[in-house]
Amino acid sequence: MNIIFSLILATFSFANLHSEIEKNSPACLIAHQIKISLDHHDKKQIDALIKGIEAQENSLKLTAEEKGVSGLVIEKQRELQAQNNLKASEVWLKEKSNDEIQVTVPKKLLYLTIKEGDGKKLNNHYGNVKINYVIKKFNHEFPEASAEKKTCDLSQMIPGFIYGMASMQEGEIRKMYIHPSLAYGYSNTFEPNIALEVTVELLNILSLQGEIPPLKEINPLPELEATQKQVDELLLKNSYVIGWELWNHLKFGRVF
Amino acid sequence: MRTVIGDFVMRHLKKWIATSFVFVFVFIQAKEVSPEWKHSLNSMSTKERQILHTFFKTMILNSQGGYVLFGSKPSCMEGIIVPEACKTRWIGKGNHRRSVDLWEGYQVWEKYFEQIGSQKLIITCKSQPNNLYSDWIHLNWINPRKLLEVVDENIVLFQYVLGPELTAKRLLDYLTDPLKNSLEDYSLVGVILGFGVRNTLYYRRLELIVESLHSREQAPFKDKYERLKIAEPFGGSYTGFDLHPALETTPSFNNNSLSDEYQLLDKLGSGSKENPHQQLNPTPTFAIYNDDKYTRKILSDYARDQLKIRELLSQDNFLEQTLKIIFE
Repeated sequence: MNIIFSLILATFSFANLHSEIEKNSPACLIAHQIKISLDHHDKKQIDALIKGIEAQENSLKLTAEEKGVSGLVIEKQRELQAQNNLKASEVWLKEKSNDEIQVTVPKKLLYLTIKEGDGKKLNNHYGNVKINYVIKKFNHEFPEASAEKKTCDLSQMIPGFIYGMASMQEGEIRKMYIHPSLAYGYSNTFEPNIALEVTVELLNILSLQGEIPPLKEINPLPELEATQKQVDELLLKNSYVIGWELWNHLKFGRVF
Repeated sequence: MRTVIGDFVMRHLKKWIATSFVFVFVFIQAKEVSPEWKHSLNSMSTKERQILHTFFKTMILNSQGGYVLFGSKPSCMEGIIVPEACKTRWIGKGNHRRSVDLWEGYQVWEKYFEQIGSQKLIITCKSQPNNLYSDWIHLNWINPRKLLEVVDENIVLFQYVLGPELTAKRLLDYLTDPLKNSLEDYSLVGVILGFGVRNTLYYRRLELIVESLHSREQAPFKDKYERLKIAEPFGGSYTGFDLHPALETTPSFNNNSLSDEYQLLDKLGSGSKENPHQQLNPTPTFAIYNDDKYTRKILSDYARDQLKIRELLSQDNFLEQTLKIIFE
C-alpha cells in the first residue's frame, strides 16, 4: 500500500518521477481517477489534497471544524456570489440611468417606453392582464423566461414587475430594469441578488378585478461579509479533508 | 466345449456391451442435462465469484432484487455513478462503494450469464446515463412474467402515455434494451415498480407538488413558497434548487392552494413501510392510497417473498442457490 501511496503522490507532485510509474498500473489509474474528479485543478488545491493524504498516513485526526468545512464552503461561496452579484447589479442599473429613462423607485426600478400604447390605462383596480414578456438576468444573453398572450394575476408577480407596469396603457411596450430587492433578493431558489431586465407588452386589461399589494422590498438583503480570501482558504481546507478521507478509504477500505 | 465357452463369452460380451452402452448413454445424458449456468459458475475465477456474490448480496439484501426474483415485484432499479461524474470527495462514500459493487458485478453477470435465458429474471444495464439524471446509469432487475402481467393489467394507461401501438411485450423489449433510455414518466415507473396504479397516481401528484417546490423560481412570479402558500421547509439553507429547471404545478380540482392539496394527499395516504433499519431485508416501501384487494395482495406477496429471501440469505452456498433460483 505504501508503494501506491508514494506513486499517487508522485503522480501529482513530481513530474520527474511520473515517468517511473508503470502506465495503467493500479496506482496510476487511481491517481488518474482522482485527478479528473477534482473540483479544482490548481496547484494549491492539489497540494492541499496531498497534505491531507499525508496527514492521514501519519495518523493525524480531523478536527471538528475540518469535518464541517464542506458545508461552510458552500455557504460562503454563495454569500460571495450574492455580494458580487449585488455590486454588479447596481453598477448595471446605474449604467441604464439616462435622460430617457423613467424612474419608479430611484436606483431600483427603472423603465423605458419602447412603444406608446393607446388603450385603457392600468390602475390598482385591474390586477388581471394579458401580456407578452421576455425576462433576462442582467448578465445573461439568453432569456430566463418568456411568454406570449399569457393571462396573469399581477398580485402573484414579483414587486418590480407589478410596479414597473404601473400606469401602462394597452398596446404599450416597456423595458424594465429591476433591482434584486424587487425581484428575488437573496434567494436560495434563484441566483442570489440578480437584477432583471424585463420587456413587457400589455395586450389587454381584463375585467376581472384584483388586488395589487403595496410595494415592499422582499427578502431584505442580508449583511454579508464573505471575502474571496476566506473562500479560498476554506477551499484549501476542504481539499485537505478530501485528501484525508480519500486515503482513509484507499488505505483501509473504509466506507463512510 | 468350444461352443459352450463361445456361448458363455458371447453372452457376457453382450451383457458387457449392453451395460457399457447404458453407462455411456447415462453419462452422455447426464452431461447434456447439466445446466449451463452451473458450467458457467464452475468456469469463474475465485475473484469473479466474490464479485458476483457481492452483487447479488447488494441487490437482494440492500435493494429490492429479491422481491423481483421471487415474483412479487415486476422490476427494481439501481443507479451507478458514471466515472466522469464521480467527484473525488465521493470516493469512498457509500454510493461510490455501491456503484463499484454493482458495476463490477454486472460485468461478471454479463460475461457468464447474460446469454443464458431465464424466465424469472432479466438483468440489464443501460449503456448511457439517464436522460433526467446525467450522472447515473440505470441497472434494472426485471421479472419478465410479472412485468408483462402488470403492464397488461394497465395497458390503457401505458398506451395513453406511450402511444396506441404499445404492447406489454414491446415495453419489455424496450426496458431490456441497453441502448434505450429509461422511462421518463414517473407514473409509469411507479406501476412497473409494482406499487399499484392507484397508489402510484395519487403519490405522483404529491411528488409533483414537492418537485415544483424543489425547483427554480419561475420568473416573473413571486417567491413560490409565498405564492403556493407552503412553508419553506429547509430553514433558509441553500439546497441547490436554483440549479433545477423551473417547474410549475397548479392546484388540482377543488383545491384552493397547493398547500391544501398537499395536506389532503398526505392525510389520505399511509406508508407500507417497515422500519428499514430494524429489518434484515425490509419489504419495499410505497405509499398506500387504496387499501383494496390489489394492494393487500402486493403486501401479502411481499411478506411471502420476504421469508424466501431470508431463507436464501442464510444459505452457505448463497451464490449457487441464487443462480439455481434464477435459472431453474
